[in-house]
Amino acid sequence: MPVIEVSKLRKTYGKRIAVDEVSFTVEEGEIFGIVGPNGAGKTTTVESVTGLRRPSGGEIRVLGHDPLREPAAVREKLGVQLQDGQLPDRLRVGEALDLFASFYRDPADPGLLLEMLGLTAHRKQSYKKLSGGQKQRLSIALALVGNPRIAVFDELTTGLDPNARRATWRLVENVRSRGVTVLLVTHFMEEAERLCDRVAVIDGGRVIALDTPAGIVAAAGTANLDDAFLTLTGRSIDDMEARS
Amino acid sequence: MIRRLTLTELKLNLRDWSTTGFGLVLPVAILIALGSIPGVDEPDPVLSGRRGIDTWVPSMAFTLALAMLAWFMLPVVLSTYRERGVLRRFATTPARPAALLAAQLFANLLVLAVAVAAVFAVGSLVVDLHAPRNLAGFALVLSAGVLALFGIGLLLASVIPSQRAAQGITWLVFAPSAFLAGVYVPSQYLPDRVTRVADFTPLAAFRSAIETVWVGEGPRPVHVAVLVATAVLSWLGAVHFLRRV
Repeated sequence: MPVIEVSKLRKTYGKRIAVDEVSFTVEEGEIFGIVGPNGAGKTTTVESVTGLRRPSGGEIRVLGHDPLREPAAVREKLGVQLQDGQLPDRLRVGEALDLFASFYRDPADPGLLLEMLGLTAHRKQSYKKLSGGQKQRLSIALALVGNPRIAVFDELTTGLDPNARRATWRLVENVRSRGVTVLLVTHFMEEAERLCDRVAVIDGGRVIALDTPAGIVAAAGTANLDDAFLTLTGRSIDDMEARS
Repeated sequence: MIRRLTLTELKLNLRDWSTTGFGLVLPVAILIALGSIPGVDEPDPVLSGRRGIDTWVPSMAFTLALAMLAWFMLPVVLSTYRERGVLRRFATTPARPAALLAAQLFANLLVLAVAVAAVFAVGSLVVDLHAPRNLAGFALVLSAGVLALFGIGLLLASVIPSQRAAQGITWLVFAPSAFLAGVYVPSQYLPDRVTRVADFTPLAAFRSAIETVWVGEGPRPVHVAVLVATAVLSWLGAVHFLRRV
């Protein structure tokens, strides 16, 4: 049964088309990736799914609910980690978790989450003093504290060093093994290939491929997803990153 | 939920001791400093025989306390939240950004309540401050003033995109308002033409109204009207702009 259904999603800003007829469904229990270069429309797409943005057209259902018309039902069961969503500097790790837990009807145990994310020792530390990796782990904890059925992670490992990135990948797999469906947004093809059951490759606001990573790679006849993107678009995602 | 959020915001504000402490300590410090000026506790012919400690001294302490919290603390904190995506982060949870705004507002009101209590306590112990003669009028003016000035603070918070901008713009609002309210030069020494304009600005209206109720008179209708009109307009504006979060 699909937990997220997006059909013919469109979002325009004036004349600029950010998202153009994007459709995909996310099945319960999978890790679904939305991949593509910066500016491809990934964030606009997930922000529409979370109800932060009003689409110009198309339909979205999250657990059967419209995120704009029934926001309460969606927010209760959709845990979100935002690319640019920070916390007040002086808020401490433990306080943040307790506070966010109080927003939900059936929250997870904040202590267990801290344990799972290796933040127990940093309980009393203020947000400002956390390292990049610790901030990411805290934001994963906050996305999970409401016991969501779906977790959305937007550019979770951007800015992390390779070790922290691999540790975060293990966490994402861990989250899924607890029965939470994961919607993962990333511009790292390697990350998508390693973690995702299925990916939608987005470029210029359109879905240009939607399959398992292995399926996409096989169809393009390349060695990996990075090269598959090159074959599909004629451009290397690394070059586009370097320019942006 | 809103209670926990308010307590958290209060804690955060208190941890930012440089700003909150200022809002808390400033009114008492002003009261003591001004209240210790020689002759301020004696009848003054410029004040038609009234004492400074019964007129402009307490009104100044309340005016600055309110302005600090409503115009500096609130907009700076909230625009920082907006700039750094805290409001958006909240928008994805069952707690709406509105809950965060309300909590920040309540937290500031609690600090204000403590500041007001401290002014009364320290004032009566240290500088011969009497309670306002017209208590009902004082309650009315203080409530209207809180609604009007915090309304302006929220309106500023709703349109200012960043912390830096907030720090600049709040000064632009505060500096002329403070001049008209007689903070730099006492109102009784300002030219008549200036005070006539001042009567229509919220901060000056608040200060004058506090002064009138302190000596036992009813507040002038123009001052109450200015405060109420400011409150209504600023809250409507703030709600309108905040919908875009």
